[in-house]
Amino acid sequence: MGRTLRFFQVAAFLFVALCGGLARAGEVKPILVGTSVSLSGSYAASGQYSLEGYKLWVEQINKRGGLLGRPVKLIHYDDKSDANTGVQLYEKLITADKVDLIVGPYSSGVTSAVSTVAEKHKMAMIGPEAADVKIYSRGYKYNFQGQTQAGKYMVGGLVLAKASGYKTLAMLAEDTAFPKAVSEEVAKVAGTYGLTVVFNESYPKGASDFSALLTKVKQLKPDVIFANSYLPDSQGIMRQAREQEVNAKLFAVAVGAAEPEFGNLGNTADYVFGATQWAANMRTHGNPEFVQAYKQMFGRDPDYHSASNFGAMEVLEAAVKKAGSLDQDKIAAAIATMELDTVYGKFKVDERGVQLGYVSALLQWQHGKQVVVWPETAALGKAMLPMPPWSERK
Amino acid sequence: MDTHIFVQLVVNGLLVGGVYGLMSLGINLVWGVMGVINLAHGDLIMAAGFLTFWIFSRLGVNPLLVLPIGMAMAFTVGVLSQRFLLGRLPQDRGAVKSSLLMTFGLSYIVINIAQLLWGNEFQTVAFLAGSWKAGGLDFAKGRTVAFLAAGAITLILWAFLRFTNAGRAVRAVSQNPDGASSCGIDIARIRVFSFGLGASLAGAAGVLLVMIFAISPAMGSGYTIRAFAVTVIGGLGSFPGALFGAVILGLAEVFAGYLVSAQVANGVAFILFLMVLLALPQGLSGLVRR
Repeated sequence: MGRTLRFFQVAAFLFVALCGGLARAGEVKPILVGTSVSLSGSYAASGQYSLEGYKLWVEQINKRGGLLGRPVKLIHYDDKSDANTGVQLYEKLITADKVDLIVGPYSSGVTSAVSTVAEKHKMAMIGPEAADVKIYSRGYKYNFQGQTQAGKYMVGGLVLAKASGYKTLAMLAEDTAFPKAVSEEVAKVAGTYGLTVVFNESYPKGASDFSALLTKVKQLKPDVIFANSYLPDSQGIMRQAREQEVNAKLFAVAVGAAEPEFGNLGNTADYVFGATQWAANMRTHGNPEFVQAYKQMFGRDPDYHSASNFGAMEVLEAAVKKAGSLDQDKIAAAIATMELDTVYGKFKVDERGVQLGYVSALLQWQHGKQVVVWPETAALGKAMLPMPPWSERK
Repeated sequence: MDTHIFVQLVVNGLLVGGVYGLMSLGINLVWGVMGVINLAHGDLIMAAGFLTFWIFSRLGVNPLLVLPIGMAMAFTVGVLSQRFLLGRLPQDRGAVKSSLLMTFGLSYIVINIAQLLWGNEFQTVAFLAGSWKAGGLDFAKGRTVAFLAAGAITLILWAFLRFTNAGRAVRAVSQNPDGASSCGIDIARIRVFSFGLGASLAGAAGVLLVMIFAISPAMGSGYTIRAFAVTVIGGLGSFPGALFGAVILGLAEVFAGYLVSAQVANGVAFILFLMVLLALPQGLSGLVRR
């Protein structure tokens, strides 16, 4: 009796195993790509754009027949805009879900934390939302920057200033990591653009009255003013510069002007320049097709986060193809030496993994609209310079 | 520093000081009449600011016309919270502490409602850009109009407290509740009215503030602290003292920002606050009384 039962048990096991095997033979096991993205918390809006960038690539690669002949499946979790949650999720992706590839989360903060997990498990990871160079200055071998360096945000402003022969530069910055990094980098290179920094001061986060700082700037009569600021302080500075009649021939802000809300200033926004990382009309590789496919899939326009995340996937795809396998060391080596034209621009990193290829662009508010004016390859219009004095504006 | 710049900085400081004065009058009134420090004061300023932004951006209504709406909204919130929340606290020795906790909670409710209604972004209105020129000086349009409106509201409030029966009753309750009660004044009603009045002054300040600075749901506490500092500097319950304190704070912020740094300007309210507490516990108006 015991032996008969045993026989049936073995037979049943073999039957099930065989059926499973037959079923498997028809389909190929998909390649799993893992990520965490901020879908709740303070980065939720931008996080959603970045996730859609990833999703579009997955959709397209599967239509093209997959990666290494296998379909691709995206596994994503919500890190709630929290770095610690991100760390736990990447541990889970790598150890429990056993994903084959990982891609970076949203923001420098979460990427910085998660990069340690990627490094520990020797998984190659491109961080498409990490502008902070410090993440890539720790001797890591498997992490690569997929976003423009923070220090490059104002290059367009510097180039225009040089071309117009402007000589003096005044800078105001919020005293937090990103804006201060921008001021430091600009101060280092201003001389090579023929500019002397005549004013370089910061203000605390949350400040709303800039009139005293602007009074100081006004006395120096600088040709160029850079406000290395986010949206609310950019608005406050522009508005109060107008009230105090602080004139400059070129007025640029680091972040604020790229946001549509900057237009709440009305015509005070006109002539103001702002850094941006990507625009729908830029002549990057495959950009028009990307924008069109994105609109079709998600029913809205992509923003620059969508493009940088899509670009990161293009790089990963090329690296896996070059490696010819899912061997992480080979993939990392391929990314490290890769030069690839993506929708986000030319991807190229240095030996630390710091992004060299991606460049910042410059837009200007013209008649209530954002117009990309630099670099020339992406420009939709000409920069309006110099900015007329406030007293001549209505 | 040349004279022109000095005078310009004085103008800037005075104009902002006027709005600080309006902010502090509300906190001063509520504190004086009820012994309650309203920690939600700055949040009512914020809510009225957002209401103004919302009406302006949707309907294009001149923010000055929103003034009565903002004041009415804040008045209603004030009356309801006194009637149904603060007024129900037992008036024992712990009343000050429990009212502090309650207004602290109220502050969070106002902030979260604002976030739900208007999002978490900073907002500003494109109203009165630029400045008027007079005597070679720049009078920022937004600041000047806000200053004048704040001045007018302050005058009306002063006349109300001075010359009307209701105003006299408010002052009587503030000076001597027991005496006022024995004269037939309904103290509970006066308290409800005073809290509403104090809140409506916060509402007015919020409508005017959005003409000058960007606003966000989380900004309220900064203005509660400024209004509180102005009240302490000027002296509790003193009308001229509060205005004087506000002008001092406005000037100190502008000059600290120009002469030292923006970081110091941001903390100047606290510095003045501590100096006055140490040297003149009665506030600047204590000097006059002495």
